[in-house]
Amino acid sequence: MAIKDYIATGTGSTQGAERVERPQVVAAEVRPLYKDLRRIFTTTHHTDIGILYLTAGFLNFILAGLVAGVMRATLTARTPPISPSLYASLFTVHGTAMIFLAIVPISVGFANYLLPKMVGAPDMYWPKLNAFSFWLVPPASLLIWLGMPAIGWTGYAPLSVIEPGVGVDMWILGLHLLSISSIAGGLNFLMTVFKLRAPDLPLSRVPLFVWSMIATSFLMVAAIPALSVGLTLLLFDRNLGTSFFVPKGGGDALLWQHVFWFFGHPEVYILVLPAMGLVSEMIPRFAKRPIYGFRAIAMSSLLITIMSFGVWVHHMFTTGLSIEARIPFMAITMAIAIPSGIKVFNWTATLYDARISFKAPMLFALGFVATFLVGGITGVFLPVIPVDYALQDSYFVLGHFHFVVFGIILALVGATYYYFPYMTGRRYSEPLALISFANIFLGSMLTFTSMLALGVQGMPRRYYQYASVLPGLVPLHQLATVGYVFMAVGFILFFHNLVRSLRRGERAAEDPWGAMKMGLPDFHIPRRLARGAEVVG
Amino acid sequence: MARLGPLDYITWIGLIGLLYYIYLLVGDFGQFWGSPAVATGRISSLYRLTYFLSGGVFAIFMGSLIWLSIKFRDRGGA
Repeated sequence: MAIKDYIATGTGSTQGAERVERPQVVAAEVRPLYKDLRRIFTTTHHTDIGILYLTAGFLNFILAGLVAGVMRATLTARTPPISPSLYASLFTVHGTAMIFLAIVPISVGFANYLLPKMVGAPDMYWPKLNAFSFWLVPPASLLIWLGMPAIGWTGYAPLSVIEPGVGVDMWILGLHLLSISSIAGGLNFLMTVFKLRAPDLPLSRVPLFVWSMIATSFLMVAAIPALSVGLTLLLFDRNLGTSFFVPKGGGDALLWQHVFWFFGHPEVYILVLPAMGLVSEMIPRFAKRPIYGFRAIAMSSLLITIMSFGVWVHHMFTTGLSIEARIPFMAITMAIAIPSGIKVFNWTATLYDARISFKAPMLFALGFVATFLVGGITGVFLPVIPVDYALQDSYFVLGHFHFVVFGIILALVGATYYYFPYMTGRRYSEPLALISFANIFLGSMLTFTSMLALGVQGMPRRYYQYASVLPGLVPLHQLATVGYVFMAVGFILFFHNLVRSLRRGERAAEDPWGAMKMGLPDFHIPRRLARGAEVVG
Repeated sequence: MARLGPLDYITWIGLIGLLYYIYLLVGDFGQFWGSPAVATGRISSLYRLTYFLSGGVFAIFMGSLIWLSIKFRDRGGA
């Protein structure tokens, strides 16, 4: 078997081989998935499921991005083009969709595509469960997009209990489906790594993306059930007359915040850890040297996983909790910067004595490090309790979170470029990719730095109109909108590049980035194949 | 392993210093920019301290990231 076929099919592992000696379908070798409708609906192969996740995630990303454009237009226009209630619905679905329907599916898509190949497994441990996990995403997307509740992505009670209509119920059911999908997906990833890993591949040698997915999967399995419980209780409050979150019936609105943020802060790491793993794969390839501090990066992922369960109250510093309750959370929130800092230090140190080539994936990876750094630094302000009182619910929080989350998107876009030749057998247009990077990076800096400045000047989040009270903030909002336009142009070029290259791109070589030549293969190659292999680079 | 000369260290540290200065300039040296909130006056020194310290960390990492990326770029050849 040639290495290329092995990478494409992933049938090289001896462990569990009896389960996979069935015909495998390969995106790069047979008809493309998008031309085979029957296969789209029946496939259980991890490469196909990975590509389906990526497609669904990017479609939701486009919709959520368009919604952001409407919001920016509203905040910039002299006469807002939409009603206040529609604005509230838009910021709710923008947040929910970006987090649950875009970033998570794209990250899980990469994990589906890469993880079995990286650990030498023939497929995911439970392929049918994997397909089931994916097929929960489209109905969940429909429920959330059609529901359009006006409660914010955090769904704070008691507003989420008393909000009339079925929109909130649809949002709850959509998130329920996504919770089931994520928990099943997390279990599947863990089982694949621990039960289907190739016998000649110890954990100490699995790629850093696999380490980051081990951490992410544990978070999915341990944190998301809290959201499921909270959503169920919320559904009961809305439809069965219970009072878990309604003070009038003896409940406590703060209980929702505890349940939500117990899940919600680990969720941030569910979002960021896969991106960190992808960046840890890309930087060494383009620096042409092994990653600095492999073990430290792997262990920092695990440390983040554990510590992320001890920080949720920093979202609730202004809710009237006692100072004794708040101080430990302040300390742990500050301390969680240490494992994140270890990663940033190691990525930076990898560049020392390197020979860096600035292809698009590398630029996006470095863009992630820079953006994440700003997100992390601004995150140091918020756990300082008195400072948090001034900045709570302001655009500073919005800017901080967007720097973190948009950094993740940069990493995911970079990874899309990086793995595009493997997935499609074709190369993307490098000049177009570089122009898209310039637009996206410049635009993101303009928009999110403006948000930070707006927050320090007192702009509250989720406000529909502000110009009559705070006229001095209009220029910064306009600057943020200009940044959005740059980002929009960048993303149009990105998607155009992918679609164009899919059909007319240059044929990719077997080793498109020369990773195997430099001794840093992207996937696990069994010894029997690696011996005497000829790699066309 | 590459050996860095004095000029390398000067440019590296200089870039970090420049970034720190820009950071301070952009944030008005840690002042709340005419914020209307009363409470901000009471915590302004704490905010400024956080601003100065985190800015230092930011400048060191960002400066190193930029400097190393430029210094060790692939110049072609062997």
